[in-house]
Amino acid sequence: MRIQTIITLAVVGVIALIILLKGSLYVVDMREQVVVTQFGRPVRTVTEPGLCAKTPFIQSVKRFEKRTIEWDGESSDILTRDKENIEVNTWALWKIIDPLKFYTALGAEYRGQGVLDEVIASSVKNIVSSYTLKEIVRDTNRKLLYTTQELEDAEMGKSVLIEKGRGTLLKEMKEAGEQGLKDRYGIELVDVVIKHINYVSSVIPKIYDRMRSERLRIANKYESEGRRQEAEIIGTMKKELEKIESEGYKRAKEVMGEGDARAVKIYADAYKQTPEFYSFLKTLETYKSTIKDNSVLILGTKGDYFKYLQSFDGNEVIKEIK
Amino acid sequence: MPNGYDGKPPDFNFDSLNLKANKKYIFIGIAVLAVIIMISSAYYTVKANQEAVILRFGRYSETVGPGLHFKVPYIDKVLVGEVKRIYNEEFGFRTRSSGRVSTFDYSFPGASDESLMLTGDLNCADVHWVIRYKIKNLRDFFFNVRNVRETLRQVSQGVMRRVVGDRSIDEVLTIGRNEIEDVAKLEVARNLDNYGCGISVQSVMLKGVNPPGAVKNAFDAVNQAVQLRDKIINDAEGQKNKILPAALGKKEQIIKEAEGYQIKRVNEAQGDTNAFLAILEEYKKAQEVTRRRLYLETLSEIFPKCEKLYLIDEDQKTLLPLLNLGGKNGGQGLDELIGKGAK
Repeated sequence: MRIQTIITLAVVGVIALIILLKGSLYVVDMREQVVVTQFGRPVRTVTEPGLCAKTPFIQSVKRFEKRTIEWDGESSDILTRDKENIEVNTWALWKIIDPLKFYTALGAEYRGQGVLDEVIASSVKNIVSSYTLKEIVRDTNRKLLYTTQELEDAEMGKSVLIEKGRGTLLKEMKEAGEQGLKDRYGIELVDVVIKHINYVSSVIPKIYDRMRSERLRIANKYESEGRRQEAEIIGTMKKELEKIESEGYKRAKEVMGEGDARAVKIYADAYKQTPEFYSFLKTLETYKSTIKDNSVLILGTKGDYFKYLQSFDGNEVIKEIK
Repeated sequence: MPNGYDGKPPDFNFDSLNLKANKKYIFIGIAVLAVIIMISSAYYTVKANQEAVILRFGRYSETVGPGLHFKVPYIDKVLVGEVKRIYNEEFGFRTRSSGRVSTFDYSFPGASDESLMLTGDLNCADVHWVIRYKIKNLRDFFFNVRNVRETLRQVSQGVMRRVVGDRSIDEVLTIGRNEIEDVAKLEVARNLDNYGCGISVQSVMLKGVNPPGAVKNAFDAVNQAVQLRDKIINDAEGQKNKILPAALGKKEQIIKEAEGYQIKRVNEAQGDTNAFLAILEEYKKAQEVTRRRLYLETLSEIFPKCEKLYLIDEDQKTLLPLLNLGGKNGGQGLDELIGKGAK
């Protein structure tokens, strides 16, 4: 009987010990941080992982996320300073850096998300509405590059100087949101990201119309540029053509003239030896070529040819021949 | 009976079990079972492409590689991650089935929210891209950011919008694509490292960048206009290249012809003068006779050709000074005849 009682007591004792240990020991994971409360009142926080002890039954443990938590906003329509109606969707990362404050002010993670809904939404709205659309879309004053001069000219009109750019505005949004979050809720805003920004869907067809007309204008410009170059090429060609043709003409005339001149010189050199005989020969030659068939000739009877026709002795002629 | 039963179940009497005799074996059985459970929860295997992080009482103790490992049951916690695997995140499209011929879905709900973005010149572009990444530090991966995949997705979208927002539509569609990939990769990696995500971005690849469907025609029209421009210019150049060489050829021809003319003129002149000089040579030997002979020869050549020949005696001033030598139609007036002869 005694042995049986001892065994029973031992079993009960072990069970009680287990319950006691379970109530007083707890593990804090790498991924969490803990607020220990006593009847709902926080007594201490544990942010380092490991095995910890508490008063069983009286104290209880509230666990909070230690890692960075994501916050996803609703997309909202905002009017920019230059009256463009755009849709902005932000996303953020945050962290509970003071679990005690977080526990007392909010109590649970979803409440933290709710606070961020308000804080980030309002800071995004404030900042987006006080800048132009370009300031939010562009990041820096980097020069935009285009494949051709035509495209660059077409888009150049739209270029403006960016004062801050998206990177700086995001930083401003983060800073504006951050104020108060840390002191009041023990929350750190790690980063704010604009994950989506575009014209609101009702404006998009108009934007597409604008893009279309711009493209068509550029297309026309290309065609007229082609025509311009064509005219230039044809013009140059005609000029070249005139030049070539006139050069040819000039050279040909020069060569021909030189030929004529040389011929003249050759003739002159030869004929000037006996100008009288030349003129006699040439005149005879001319008679042959100018008097054709069926010509009518009227001659005086005193010519040499008819000398013998009138006087049979022809003394004068013989005298002359002598 | 075939199965050996007689239809009644055998009587079962609990007392008939000899518990006392089997007590020893029951204890041994329980003990063996407990040991088996203990052992089975005291080892774990890490596969070839994995690593594992060990938490002892919630505190990080070590990271172990592939193989069989032991742990303290209930005290050690094992978190396994595939560190050798390359993860893929798709933006603006989803791979419906991948294989030899992959099919992609570009119009799943919310696709345009991911892909439609504003360029620096306030045009819209439809951008699709893929990010490949890998876990580079398992400890950071598990303990710094709660939802690493979601963080990567959102940061990647934010970065891509920022990069595209700082570029022209032209850069986004054509010339700047490689640069965008490089910048986006660096930016995404830098952001994720700031958060301590423990992953390394392997690549950012633009899968397809298009103008939005509604304005695609207008963009195509620009490309066509570029081609038209080139065609117009090429045609003009072609015309020029065809006509100018022909003109040059023509020029050469004219000059050559002129040179030919020159040679001809000179040769003719030389021929003529040489002939003249030859005649002159002979003429000088018997001037008077040669002269007369040449004169008479010429006349004898000329007269037969003539239809009519009139001889007028200059001393006679009578009414009929004409001698009609063999004319058929006599009685013509002198004026008319002279007029005819002068023709």
